[in-house]
Amino acid sequence: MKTLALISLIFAQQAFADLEWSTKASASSTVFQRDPESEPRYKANEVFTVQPRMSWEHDSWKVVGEYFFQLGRHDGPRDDVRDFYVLLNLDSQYLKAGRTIEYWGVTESQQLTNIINQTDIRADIFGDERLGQTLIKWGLVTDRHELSLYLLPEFRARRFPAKASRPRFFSGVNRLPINTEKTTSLTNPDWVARVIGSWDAFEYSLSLFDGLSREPLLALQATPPNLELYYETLKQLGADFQYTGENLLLKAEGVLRQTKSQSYSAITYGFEYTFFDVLQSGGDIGGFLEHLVDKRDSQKGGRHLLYNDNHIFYGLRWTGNDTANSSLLAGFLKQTDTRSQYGRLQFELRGFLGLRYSLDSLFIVSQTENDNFAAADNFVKITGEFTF
Amino acid sequence: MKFLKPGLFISLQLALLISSQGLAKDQGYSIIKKSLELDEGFKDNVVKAQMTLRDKSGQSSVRQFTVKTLEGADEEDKTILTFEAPKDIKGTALLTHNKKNSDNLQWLYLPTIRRVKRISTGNKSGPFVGSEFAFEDLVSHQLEKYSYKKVADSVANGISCYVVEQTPKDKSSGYAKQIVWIDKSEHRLQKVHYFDKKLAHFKTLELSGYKKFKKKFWRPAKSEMTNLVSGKSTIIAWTEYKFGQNLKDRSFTKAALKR
Repeated sequence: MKTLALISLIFAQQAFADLEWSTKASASSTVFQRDPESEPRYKANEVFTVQPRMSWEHDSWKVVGEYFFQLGRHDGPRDDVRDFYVLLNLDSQYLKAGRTIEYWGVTESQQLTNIINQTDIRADIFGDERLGQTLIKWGLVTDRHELSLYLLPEFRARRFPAKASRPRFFSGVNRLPINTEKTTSLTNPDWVARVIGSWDAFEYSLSLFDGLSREPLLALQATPPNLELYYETLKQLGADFQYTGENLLLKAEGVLRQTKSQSYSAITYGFEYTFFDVLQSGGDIGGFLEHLVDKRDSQKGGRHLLYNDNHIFYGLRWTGNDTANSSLLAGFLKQTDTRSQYGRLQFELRGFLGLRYSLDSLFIVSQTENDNFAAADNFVKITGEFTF
Repeated sequence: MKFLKPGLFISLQLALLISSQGLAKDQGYSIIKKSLELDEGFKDNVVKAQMTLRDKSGQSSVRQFTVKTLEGADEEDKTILTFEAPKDIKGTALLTHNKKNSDNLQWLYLPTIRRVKRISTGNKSGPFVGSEFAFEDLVSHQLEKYSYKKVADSVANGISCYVVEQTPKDKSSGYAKQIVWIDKSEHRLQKVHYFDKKLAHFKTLELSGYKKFKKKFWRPAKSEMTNLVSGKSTIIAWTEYKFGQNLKDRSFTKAALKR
């Protein structure tokens, strides 16, 4: 009995020794240029974010958990379990079950093929944040390829900014009722099959999705007549491609989508050219250009809220390769038909007290009444982040 | 740990090394070849590293990482370098596939954005995380990617050495040439001088504290790179070398980085 207890104790000690914790905490302040003409009437908002993360790895097993909590001074709290999954790695296969986030895609401006997770526009107005997705994933790995099959038994609706949030894109949308073309459940899950591969300087992936679209339509429900957010069922064939040369990066990704209301294609393609170790400073400077094309009918099935139909994205990227891990990205998104244009500037570095500081700014170069960001407002967001 | 092992880095103070002795042209090639051959058969290893970056004023910052290396046929080793500290870059991982006859392939996993980014093959001479080590210093040495010339016999770290001039064939290398000191007794790399494109000696790497593992494979306890122009230096302390970890090829893929 004592031996058994001793073995259990040794095992427990070993198990805890493999457990790792870290927490990322940040505070940001966003300052808007325009005086508010309507609610909400604040000119600046402070947001606090905490993300505790744990991971445990032993032999072939791995367990990961990450919780996201954010509190805005003017627009309240939001939270999400971003990760909570178990991973079993076998020789040439693996099995993953639980909540997690997966990013797909190669282009800079948007990732058309990225379909697993829902976008959290409340946590990040640029759509860079994603909500955790419950899934069961099986993977088969060879030296050059990986085949993965996903079952997605949970549908997550897009998270929009609250009524009190600024910038005011999608103002009030978060309060609309939500309707879906089908019910997603363990017995009726969405599913995905994906192959990724590489050959020398080329990388590619091909995916097939069948389930509820991640993009809601602003639709009119019949009874009672009222606006709602409607999620259609979607079949999507996606592909991406990347070539990495000496200084040149070629990227493309595209989708063919079929819904009840329409079938259409969308593609993003472009290049990035980088000068390395410029003037022997250690820093790299790159220029990029992407063309975003989307052939959808914006009114079929309902009003499509946000997509890039014929846009150019271009800009510069600087990477310091220095002890502060500093980087800068200046990008411009231009609608080629209406000529509306928006700029985004991102700068970050590690600095005083070991904190990571970042500046993220949106600025209007030119604007038209009917473009996606008609409610946009110049702003600057400054963040200090500490990981412990 | 195959990077920073004997034969990986090359350079030297030319003035000291130009020998008046008539040396066979290919002797340098044979010396480096033997150095590499002596390290064959290690299969895989794992090592922990603490990298200390010092600037001219003496201020320092520390990074910690683990390197896993899988030996491949024809010098095509694979490595994954994973950061543990500072905490804000913990989990950042650099995967390298060394290629014998073409450019090496490198991918970087950034956990904060959960994405793997392919690193361009042109990014050889840039500093690795702000250190005095360039990306090209952190890959396994491939014999045929350089031309060699033995230039002298000399002493480094109190040990009698061959001195070999090594010129990268790749035009995008940040070095015009490198000169290495390989000790005569065990064929271990003892010192490297790096020359820039203007043929100025600007960096020196010194390796010390060698220990033999598995009765065959020598590994250093310390690698110190000094930049003679900026006055900065980077010291890597290597600890906890482990061999025979049964590492698998499929753990060294782009997809595996995300898992």
